Amino acid sequence: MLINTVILFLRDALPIFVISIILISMLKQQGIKLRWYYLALLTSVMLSLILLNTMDEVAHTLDDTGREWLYACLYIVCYFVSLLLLSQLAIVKRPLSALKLTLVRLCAVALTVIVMTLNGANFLIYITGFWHQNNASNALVAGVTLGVGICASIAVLLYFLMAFIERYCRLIREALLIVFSVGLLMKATKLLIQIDVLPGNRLLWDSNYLITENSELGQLFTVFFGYDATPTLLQLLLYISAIVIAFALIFVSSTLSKSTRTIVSHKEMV
Amino acid sequence: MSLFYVKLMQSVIVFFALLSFASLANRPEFEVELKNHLFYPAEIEIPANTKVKLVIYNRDTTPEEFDSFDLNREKVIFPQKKSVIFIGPLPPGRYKFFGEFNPNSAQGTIIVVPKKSAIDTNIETLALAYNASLAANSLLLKEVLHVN
Repeated sequence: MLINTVILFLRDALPIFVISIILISMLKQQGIKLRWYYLALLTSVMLSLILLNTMDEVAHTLDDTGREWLYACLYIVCYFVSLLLLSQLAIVKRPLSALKLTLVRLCAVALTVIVMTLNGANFLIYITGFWHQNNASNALVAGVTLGVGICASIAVLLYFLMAFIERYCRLIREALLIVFSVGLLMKATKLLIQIDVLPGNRLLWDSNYLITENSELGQLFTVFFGYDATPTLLQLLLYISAIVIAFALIFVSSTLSKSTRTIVSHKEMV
Repeated sequence: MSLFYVKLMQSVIVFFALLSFASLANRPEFEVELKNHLFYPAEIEIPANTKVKLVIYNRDTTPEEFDSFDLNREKVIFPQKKSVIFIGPLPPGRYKFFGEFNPNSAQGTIIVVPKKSAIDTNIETLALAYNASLAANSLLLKEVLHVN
C-alpha cells in the first residue's frame, strides 16, 4: 500500500507541482506577485472537496460517462486557456497593461484551479476510500509524505533548471507550458476514446518495452509532455497539430508585438 | 464575422452529433465483477476487430480504478456501483488489466480471439446457463409432482 500510495500520489500530484512552477515562474517574469496563487490554491481545495462528494453522481450521469465528459471538457478548456495566456505573454518583453495583467492572472488561476481540482479529487477518492481499512492510515500518511518530498524536489529542480536553460533558450517556459497543456489535451482524447465518442482505431505502436507508462520515468514523461505508450493515429495527429498551433500562436503574437513596438517608436520619433 | 461564428458553432455541433452516433451503435456487451479486490471472471474473451462495451461492477466497499496499459484505459469505479468503458477494435492477443488501488490482487486479462471462436465461447456459455436453468426447472417440477 505504501508504494502504491507513492505512485498514485506522483501520478496525481506531480502535474499540480509542475503547472504551479511553470506558471509562478512565468508570472514572476512579468512582475506579478504570488497572490493569485494563494487564491487558486484555496479555490482548488474547496472545489476538490466538492468534486469528491459529488463525483459519484457526476460519474453516473450520461450513461455512466459523466466523469469522462467533465474531465475531457475541462482538459480541453485548459489547452485553450494556455493558448490565451501564451498569446498575452508575448515573447518580446514589454510592460503589460493593467487589463492584460488581470487577464494573465485569470488564465493562471483558471489553469491551476482546473489541474489542481481534477487531480486533487482523484487522489482524495483513493485516500478517503482506504483510510478506514486496517493499518492503512499509516501507510497512506507515509506514502503521501514521501510523495510530497519527491514532488517538491522535482519542482525545485525544475524551477532552477528553467532559470538556467533560459540563458540559452528564451522559449523554455512557454515550450514547457505548451507540451504540458498538449499533454492534458491527450488525456482528454484518451477519455473520449474510452467512452466511444472519438474513434479508437488500432494503436499505432506500443513503446512500453522502451519506456513503461507505469514506471517512474513513464509517469514523468506523461506529466511533462503527455507521453502515451500506445497512441492512436487520431491522438498523434491531434498532438502534432496542437503543438504546431501553439507555437504558431507564439510566433504570430511576438511578430505582432514587435511590429506594434516599431510603429510606436517610429511615431514617438516623429 | 458573427455569421462566421454561427457557422463555426453549427459545424462543431454537427461534428459532435456525428461522433455521438458512434456511441449509439450497439456494441457487444461483456461484464466483469470486482469482489474482495479480485476480478470475476479474471479472463474475458472478446471478438477480434470489434469494439465492445465492458461493464464493470464494483461489489467491494472501497473504490477501485480499472487500469490497463495494454488497452490504454483507466476508470474509477465507486463502491457498490457499475461503470462502463469501451475497448477495441483489437487484434487477437492477451491484454492485461488491473485494479490501480489494489494492483497485487485485482488482476485480469482480456483475451481477444478471432470472431468465430468468441461466438462459440459465448454460445457455450449460453448453453451452459440454459442447461443449468433447465435442470433447476426439472428438479422443481419433480418436487411439485412429489408433493402432489
